[in-house]
Amino acid sequence: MRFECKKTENCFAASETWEYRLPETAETFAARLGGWQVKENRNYRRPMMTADRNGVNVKGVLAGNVIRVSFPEVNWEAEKAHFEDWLSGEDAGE
Amino acid sequence: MDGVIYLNNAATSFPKAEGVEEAVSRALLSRPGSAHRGGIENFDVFAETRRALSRLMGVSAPERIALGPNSTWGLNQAIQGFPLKPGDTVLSTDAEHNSVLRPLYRLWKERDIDVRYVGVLPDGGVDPEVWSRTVKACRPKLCVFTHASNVTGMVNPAPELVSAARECGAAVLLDASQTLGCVPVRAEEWNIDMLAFTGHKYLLGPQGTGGLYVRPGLELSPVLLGGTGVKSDLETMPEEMPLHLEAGTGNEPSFCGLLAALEWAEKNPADGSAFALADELRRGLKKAGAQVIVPTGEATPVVSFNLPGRSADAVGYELSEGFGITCRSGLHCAPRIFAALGCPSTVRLSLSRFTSEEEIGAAVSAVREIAGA
Repeated sequence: MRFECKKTENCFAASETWEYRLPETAETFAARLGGWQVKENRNYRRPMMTADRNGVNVKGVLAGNVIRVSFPEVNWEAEKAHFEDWLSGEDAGE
Repeated sequence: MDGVIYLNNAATSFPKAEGVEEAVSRALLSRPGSAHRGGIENFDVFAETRRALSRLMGVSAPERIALGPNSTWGLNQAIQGFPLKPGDTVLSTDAEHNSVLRPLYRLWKERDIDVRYVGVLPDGGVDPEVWSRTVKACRPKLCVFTHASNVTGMVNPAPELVSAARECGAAVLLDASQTLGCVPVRAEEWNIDMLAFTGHKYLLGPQGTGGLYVRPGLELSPVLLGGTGVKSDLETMPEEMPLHLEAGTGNEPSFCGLLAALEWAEKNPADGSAFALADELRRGLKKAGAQVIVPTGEATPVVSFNLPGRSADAVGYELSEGFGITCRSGLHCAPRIFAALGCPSTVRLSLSRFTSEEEIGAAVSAVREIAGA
């Protein structure tokens, strides 16, 4: 799967949060997350998903194609590389 | 209408006052002004803006208002340009924004200035008794404090705090970023030495506008040096205000917008609905299960809260993305205040005079939904 990635900042210098633009909706993406703890909030005006695994948190609007991923402060580089390797290996049917 | 509810007015107001867009646009389509060299028939937006601001902040000498890009500029000019010598003390508060904290840190680090901070109450306000006691104890040369916390909205009793400082011989710099255009500010009546302000918050003007009032008789060292359009044969900045502090070409289009906003506000005084709606929002959020920081006195329409067990960052993201409610979460560039508030960060919703009851209802419903998710 091809994706674009951009660092997003918040108030904390140690924040390790990134946005990924995917070639599919977050809803489709969420279905790939086997082994993750996935939750959907369909009561939201724009329904959202969140997913957690090993300290990595993924969020996104189900109908949108941007997800926000927060990596744990410790070991964020390895977790990010692992996540992106996995993402790259996924087939989005592009 | 894009369905977005904008509740981030303590950062930058939206929408702007009627006429701002047209004034900026007209300025961009017109030939630029005369850079202090115009005659009696030339319209000088900077002079007109100074006059309008002086009416608003109770200043009888408009030329003592130096215009710049924002209050960060004004605060830096005041803090770094105030005559201090090594060993002098500056007193400030834990409610300050980084636009005060960082210049003060530099004073401490690079100029051997003793910088002290007065703690704040759990609503973000300064206790006048503690302030007065501390001023007497440390005899500062300069006191710097925010008129209102940008995190909690709590308005500090400026006349009382200024009076205590002046009694001990300290000069006072008031950060009115969060109050000018929102609650009364009276620079001369309150004996304020310097007052920093911005145009893009409650003045409802464009970004890129702000400034610093300096009382007559107080001379600051200019932080920025450069062209003034006049007296170009001098090697130093001209001594007279406002030229003394205004180097470089001013942001004429944006100040045309600010002037339009100021004139609009003079003709259309706010009815106070934003304050009532902020109270309604605080009550609604509490009922929705939020931990709301409730100011114990006068406050700007700024509401800070947290949801138990959820990070402010996560709640802010869900409000923004899941409900289209523009808010701000985190430290709000005021990191020292959080020790007093008892939380690591907050979600902040900030209203303007244009905020509607329906928008407040939608915000409360959204928080209730997130709290229950």
